Amino acid sequence: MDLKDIKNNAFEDIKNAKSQQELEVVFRKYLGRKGSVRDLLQALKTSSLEEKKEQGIKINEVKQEIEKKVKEKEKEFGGLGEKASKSRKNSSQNYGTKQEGAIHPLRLIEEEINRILQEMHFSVIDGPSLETEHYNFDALNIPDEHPSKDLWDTFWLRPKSAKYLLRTHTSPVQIRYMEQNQPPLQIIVPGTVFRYEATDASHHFQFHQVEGLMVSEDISIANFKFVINKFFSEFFNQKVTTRLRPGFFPFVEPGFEVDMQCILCGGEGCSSCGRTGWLEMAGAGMVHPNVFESAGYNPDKVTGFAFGMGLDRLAMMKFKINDVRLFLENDIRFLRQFS
Amino acid sequence: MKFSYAMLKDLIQGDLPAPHKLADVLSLHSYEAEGVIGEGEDAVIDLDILPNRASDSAGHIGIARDICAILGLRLKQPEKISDISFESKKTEEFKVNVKDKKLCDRYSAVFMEDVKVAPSPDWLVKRLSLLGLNSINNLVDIANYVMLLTGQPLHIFDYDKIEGQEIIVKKASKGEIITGLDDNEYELEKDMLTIADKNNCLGIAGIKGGKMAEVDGGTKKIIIESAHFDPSCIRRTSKKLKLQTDASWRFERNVPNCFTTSALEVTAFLIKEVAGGQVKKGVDVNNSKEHDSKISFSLDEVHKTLGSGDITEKQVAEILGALEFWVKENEGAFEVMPPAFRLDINIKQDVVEEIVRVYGYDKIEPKEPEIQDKTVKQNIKNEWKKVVAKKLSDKGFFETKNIVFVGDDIQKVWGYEKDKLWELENPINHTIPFLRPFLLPNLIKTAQENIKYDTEDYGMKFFEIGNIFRKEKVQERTCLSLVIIQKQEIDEDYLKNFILSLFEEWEVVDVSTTEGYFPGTHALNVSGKELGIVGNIDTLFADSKYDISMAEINVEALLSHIDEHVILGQSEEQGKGGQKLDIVYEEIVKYPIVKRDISLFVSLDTDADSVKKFIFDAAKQMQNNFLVDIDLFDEYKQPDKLSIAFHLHFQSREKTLESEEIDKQMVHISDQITSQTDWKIR
Repeated sequence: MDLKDIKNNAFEDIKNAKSQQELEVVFRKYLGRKGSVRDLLQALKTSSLEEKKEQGIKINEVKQEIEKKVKEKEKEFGGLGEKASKSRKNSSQNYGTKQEGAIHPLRLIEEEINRILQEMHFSVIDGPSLETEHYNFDALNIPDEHPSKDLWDTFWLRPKSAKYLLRTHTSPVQIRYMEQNQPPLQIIVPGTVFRYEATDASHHFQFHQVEGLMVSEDISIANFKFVINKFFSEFFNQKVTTRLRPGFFPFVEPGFEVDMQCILCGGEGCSSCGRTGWLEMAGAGMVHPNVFESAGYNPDKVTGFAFGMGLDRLAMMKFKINDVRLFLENDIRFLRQFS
Repeated sequence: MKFSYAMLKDLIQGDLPAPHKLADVLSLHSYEAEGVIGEGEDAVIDLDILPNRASDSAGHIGIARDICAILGLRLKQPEKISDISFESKKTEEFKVNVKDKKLCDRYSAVFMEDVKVAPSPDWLVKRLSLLGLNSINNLVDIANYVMLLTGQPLHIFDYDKIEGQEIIVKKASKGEIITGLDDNEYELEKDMLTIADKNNCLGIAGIKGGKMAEVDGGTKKIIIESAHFDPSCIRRTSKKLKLQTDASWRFERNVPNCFTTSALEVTAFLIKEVAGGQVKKGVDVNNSKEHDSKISFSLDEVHKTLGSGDITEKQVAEILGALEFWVKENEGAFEVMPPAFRLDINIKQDVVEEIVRVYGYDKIEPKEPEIQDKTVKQNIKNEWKKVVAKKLSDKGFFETKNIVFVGDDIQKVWGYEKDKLWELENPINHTIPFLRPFLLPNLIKTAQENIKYDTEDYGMKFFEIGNIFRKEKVQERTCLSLVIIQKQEIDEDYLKNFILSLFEEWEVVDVSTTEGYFPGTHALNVSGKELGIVGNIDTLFADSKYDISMAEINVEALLSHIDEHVILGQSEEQGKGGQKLDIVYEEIVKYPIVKRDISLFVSLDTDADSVKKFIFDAAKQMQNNFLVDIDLFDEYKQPDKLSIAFHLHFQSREKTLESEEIDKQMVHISDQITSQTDWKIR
């Protein structure tokens, strides 16, 4: 049946309806979920985009005309008009299960981290996810053709010669910020990062980090210890013990790993901390002079520390979530637990 | 990398802590100990060697040296034959011709005769086995053992199988094939380095020796190779041939070229001990450059970096001396030179790291930084995200975060032009090779996957705030998208009006809507410029079971029309609520829920909730109770009674439930109702 026939038949049926109830039946026949107009729209799903647009407009016009005719006819049955049409459609105000909604757990954690660090005078900065090799690697003292680059398996965009990639950490934003601003400074960059890796309960190719940077004339390792201790104590709502041990990242020297004494077993050793009593929480270090130079700072005049933490991991610890994939699966049975 | 406690003990004078204690010391001052296997002398410590230390620490001597510096013990070098004389090009027995000096800047070799190839002695077999290596024969085993000891990979050739008594180091010819010691054939390319004699290829340099000059039971004369190969060349070759060995792993990370001759001296000593033989002269073709790397710094600078603790000049000098630095100190001013095998020490910060890690990070007390300017920059976009997320979740929307990759339905179904799409060179999955140019496609998929959990047909609402990517002047943008999905028809204007009301709350002026690109949609405009779309796109969806209402808005464009203060004000208001973070996630049960209905007549004054409670309690009485939820779906007043109906939801945490199990519970519940109350089951 073509559009013109449908329209004519509909007008005919509407004219002949003898009661509100009969009118409802007519309405459903043409404009209901299984109605003929709906069928026509569904039939378009295999058409080209141009077809869809062209036909869609025509079908929509007819749909509106039929609706108008129904509304007019309703007046004959005692001006139910508005009320009837409202009952036909489920009142949208009540869509969704009992008004509950939820913010994503990663946002809850990010906001908490931002709050704590803003109170410690860090500013929150954003930057692009689609980055260049220069900002993601070169400016951070990560050379080409080097085993250390393997630490960051990268998603490259076509053409590879253009050297665009999805950022593997949020540190490039720190370089961009330093290029545009003078020290002293304290910033954090929360954001989505990407690494070409196999996905499992603890790893995903798309995950989230918060990286921080503090630069001034005489920032020291002791200052870093103070800041990181304070942060973890606030975040976990209790006094925590942290320790630094040697680590390596091309953009810091000295570089360190930050461990926190396991809050579940108090350092005795349990299944959560692999029986060591310590949990690896962040990578950090004193900013490498080459990085300062890339950013246009004089390394003899400034010092600073940088640190990075996994947001997903912190969220998993805080909420006792056992699988990182849940964050991007968006199963409502997971999401609603955070409302 | 695995290290033998016994081998470390051999290299250290003084009392070594027990394996577990030693592992802890190393974790705090050198490398993370990932585990200790075995006990006492047989213990093996697995260390995560930092990428910049592989040069000096891929051998027991490097680790032993660190231990000595940390614990104040003395390093004991392994025994060696120290009087081997090395010629610069050739000896009576053989000559070395290095054709490519860039790819091989040092080639050292020693000739030995009258060796007896035999099975290795027990101590050697055991030590190799503890570290995961198989025993082959005494010569090959010693070469491996010395590599584990020093970090320098070695190779042994059967001298009599080398034609022309000449070792040539040169690039391969295209298509050249070599059979390796592993019996595999490798086809080489022009940029790969080989060890050859005048007629044949004898080995892939730094990676694998060839069968041609293999050491076997009859070998009497040998040439031991100890060389330095260009790391990038080894890395490329290894990748192309998909061949990685203990040797290539080390060469890739740059074995210091000062190791070559000393490793030969140790090897010659061990071979003589174990396999007999005479050591003759060696050849050392050395084209490597010594780099003069004096580094200056002051004690003051060390104190400044540490920020606290009072390390003294003496301590600094001791630490660096134990690490074999050359040290000159004068009233707090230091001039030092790192040992030739420390390729990672180039600037004073590298030296400071050595000092502080051996001294101990634990000795640094935390110190609050002095901050002059405490102003924190406002990030309006971030504040807005906080505000909108709260508003939407309060209105029943669930926030999602979806992956940024999309497939070709972005062109086929949504009609997005391919040349505006960013495509990945190495997608994680070939079905999703593009970056999303808008949020809706993946958000709608998420909505469609979730609607099956809408057992009561209430419908669901979702939103996402995320970045999109297009090959346009502006590559990357932030967008907000919303989706409503439900079985019943959705009021066309609901979402549009909802968004317009949000705009009103944000005091956006000059808002208008016009016909959208797809029929049934509207464009949202501010000051005549489009910054979003909203509507139903019936024509695009294969799934006709549900109605979908959608919207997507360009956030940066929207923010340009919102006064900062409006956002900051709303954010502050919200902030007063505070964050609820004491949530504990309950693992989602993956087994399906089964619904059964129960309808009852009760007296007019009966409270539906009390009926619900009764049913719950009745279910709990059973040993196997699977009732997880009860939903009132009908309540109808009749003149003399109340008719109510519930959906009962059953689910097990362990398996899919059988009908019989649920029947049992229904029977029990009915029995309880009949016997305990005056309610009538319909």
